[in-house]
Amino acid sequence: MNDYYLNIIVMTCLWAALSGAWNLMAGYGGLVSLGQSAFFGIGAYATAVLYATYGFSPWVGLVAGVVLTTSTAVLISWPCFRLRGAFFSLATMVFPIVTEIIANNWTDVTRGFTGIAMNFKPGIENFMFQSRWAYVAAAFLLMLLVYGVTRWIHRGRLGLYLIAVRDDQDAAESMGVEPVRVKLLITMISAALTSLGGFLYAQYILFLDPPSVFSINISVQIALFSLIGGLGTPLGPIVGSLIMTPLDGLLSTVLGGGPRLLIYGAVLLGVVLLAPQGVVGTLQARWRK
Amino acid sequence: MNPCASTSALLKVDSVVRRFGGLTAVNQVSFEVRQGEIVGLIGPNGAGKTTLFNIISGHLSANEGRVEFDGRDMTNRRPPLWAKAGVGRTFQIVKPLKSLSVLENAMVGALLKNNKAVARERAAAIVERVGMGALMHQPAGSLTLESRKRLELARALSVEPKLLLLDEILAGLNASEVEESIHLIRSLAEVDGLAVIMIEHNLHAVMSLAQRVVVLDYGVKIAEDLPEVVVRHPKVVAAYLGSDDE
Amino acid sequence: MLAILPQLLVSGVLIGGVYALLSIGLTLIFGVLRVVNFAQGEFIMLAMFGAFWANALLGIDPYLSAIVVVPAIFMLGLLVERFVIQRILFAAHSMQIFATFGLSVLLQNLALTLWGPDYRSVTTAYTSLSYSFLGLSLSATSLFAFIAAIVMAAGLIGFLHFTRGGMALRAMVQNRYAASLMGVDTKRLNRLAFACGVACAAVCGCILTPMYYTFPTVGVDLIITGFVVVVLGGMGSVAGAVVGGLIIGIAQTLTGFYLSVEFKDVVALLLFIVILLVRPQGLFGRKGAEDLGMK
Repeated sequence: MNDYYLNIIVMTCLWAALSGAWNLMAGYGGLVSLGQSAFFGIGAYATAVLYATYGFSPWVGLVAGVVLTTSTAVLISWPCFRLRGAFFSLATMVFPIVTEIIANNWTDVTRGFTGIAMNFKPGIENFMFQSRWAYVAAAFLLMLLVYGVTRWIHRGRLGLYLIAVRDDQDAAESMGVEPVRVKLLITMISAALTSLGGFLYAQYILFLDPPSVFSINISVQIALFSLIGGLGTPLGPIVGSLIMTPLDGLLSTVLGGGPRLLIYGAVLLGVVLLAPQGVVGTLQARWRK
Repeated sequence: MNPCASTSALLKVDSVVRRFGGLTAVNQVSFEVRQGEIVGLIGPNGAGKTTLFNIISGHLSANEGRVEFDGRDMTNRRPPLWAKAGVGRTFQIVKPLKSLSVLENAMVGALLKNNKAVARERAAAIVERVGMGALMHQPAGSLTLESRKRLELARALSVEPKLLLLDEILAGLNASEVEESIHLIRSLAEVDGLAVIMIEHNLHAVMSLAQRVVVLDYGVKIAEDLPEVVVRHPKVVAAYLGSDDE
Repeated sequence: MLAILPQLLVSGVLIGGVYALLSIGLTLIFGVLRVVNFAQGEFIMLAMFGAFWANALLGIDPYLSAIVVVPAIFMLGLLVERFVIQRILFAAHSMQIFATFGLSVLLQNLALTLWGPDYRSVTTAYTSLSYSFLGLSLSATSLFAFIAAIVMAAGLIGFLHFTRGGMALRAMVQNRYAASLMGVDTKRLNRLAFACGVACAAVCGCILTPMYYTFPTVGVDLIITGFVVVVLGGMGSVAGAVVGGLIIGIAQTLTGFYLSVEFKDVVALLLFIVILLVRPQGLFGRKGAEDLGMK
């Protein structure tokens, strides 16, 4: 199987994982974050910086990324949770802008605009592999991890609590649910999983610069895939990515930047207006009848 | 004041005051409730009954005064802590969790003190107990008002409370539905030993169920006694109907 | 160092006028429809392109082109409200966010596809003009923007307080349900408010064209500041948008000079976070305004 197709599989799984992580926050928690790319970028930069600038094994970077993103998530979320709906989303938009500015200006550590290139030294200790199949496996495992976590939360205690808070916070509180705690928990889980995606991206592409990882387009794509597949369902992000990632590859080569995102915008709008349940949601609704 | 009060009281409301700007909605209200007691809370609209409930369940803070539950000072604690302490409440304007089924609604509360498997069993039992067994897996958003009222009760029961706060749970129900609910509430107090405070305009229900009635008017407690005595109390009559002096 | 303060303040106030211009439409839309229009920046961008092409192809002055551009955008606003906004008014909040956000992405990339990513600019006779007043230098374009902002704000406030339509809108801002019970045609007014909101954006775009670059993603740059101003001033308050704009304008000019240029970009964002933490309803907003859309 040639590299082109393997690449598509890796990216499909990666996007499914990233979208799935966002789905936890937005689909279950009702927290529509438009700033996921911040967690993604932090996860990617953590491993790149520790490896390229300080010579640490990427496995350290993996852990560092998760720690960094979860603690930032706590810091940022706590004040933002008192905002509801669109105000919360507005506040989240600020976060990647700030991290991009930091990445651009903290040149000693992040190399600024020029970005970081990671030297390819294959070996498990560096999480770099000659064979693309290894990356396919890693991406697939990450996707499965996100799916597994989502299923465990879905209709489990955390899932029920989140839906309760979303439906009626007063009622939920009167049943002993602590809204801030559950929202914080889901945000931390989402941040950690997104950071893992960033880690994988860095290890796979071996080069990153601020625009490529902090871009709002990443946040758009992540949201779109879950919406198309079915927000608030475990399979939704996977289905969405399966449909869109190969299509996206095609769109990129045939159409290029502008038209591709134009179609994304149109699809986003279309899904919201015509099929807000997404593929999985609509199928589930039909099946119930 | 009831001479048998003090140490055996489950809930002690002591001189609670709550103001909204210039309006004093609850003005130095004190009373107690013991285990297994059904207390009626009545008064004209706007008397401060729901505000008092909101203070007892943590949804509102008190400006002055103290609320003690199960021996602990719970004044101004947030609702989740009240639920954990053992207070379950219904809301006057029903708040079903629409995305969830009837069973799942009850499970949310049951999960407070149980793991998922046990919570599911207990929730199912409670749903049956309030007579909604047939609607177990129905989405809460599609229920009729009567069912939503029962769901409120199921949810209040799901946290395994010692005290139930029922806010006009009978409003909007027809005569036979009211009778069923009266039976249910009575059995909850007698069989399960729950204490109940019920805000009710349905005086027939209050007379059948309550051992004691507290009357509020403009935020002030104007009477507290046996139901038969209270309904004849001149101040109470005046509050509802207006006195001849006005 | 301190000698330059008056000049900085003046520049800050003028720039603040531009920010106010941006934000007035945004706050109007939120006040009446309770929807955060994530695509507001794109309406500004479309107006800027309109003004640019009118100038490039027909030689029309950008301010003058407003006569055509603003009504055109107003009509576009009517269409968007009818086919997009109206349908999501009562949907889940996440869907509302996606709808206007999706619109934003669509419009940005439509412009990108049609006109390419290049930065365009319009130079007019007064682009580099500045007036001297009391020893201070006032850039002509900023001055005009400031005046336009004040006129527009005054006009809007006058409309809201002294006409029947305006009072109906204010009633809707305060309590939509009660307003509908009193016979206010909320559906029609929603459409009107949205179209007016984006028309304000169009005015802003035409005013900005001689002083700023025109490119497809200019809306994104501008709108973040717009959101900050609106949150600072209070969602739904036109006066708040003006005051908020001035504060941000002054804050930016001062930090840009006394601290550093990089800080200038960050200051608005920092203020944003601070306001959200300390007083989310803004200076003129009502407490719980940030929740008002939720109940």
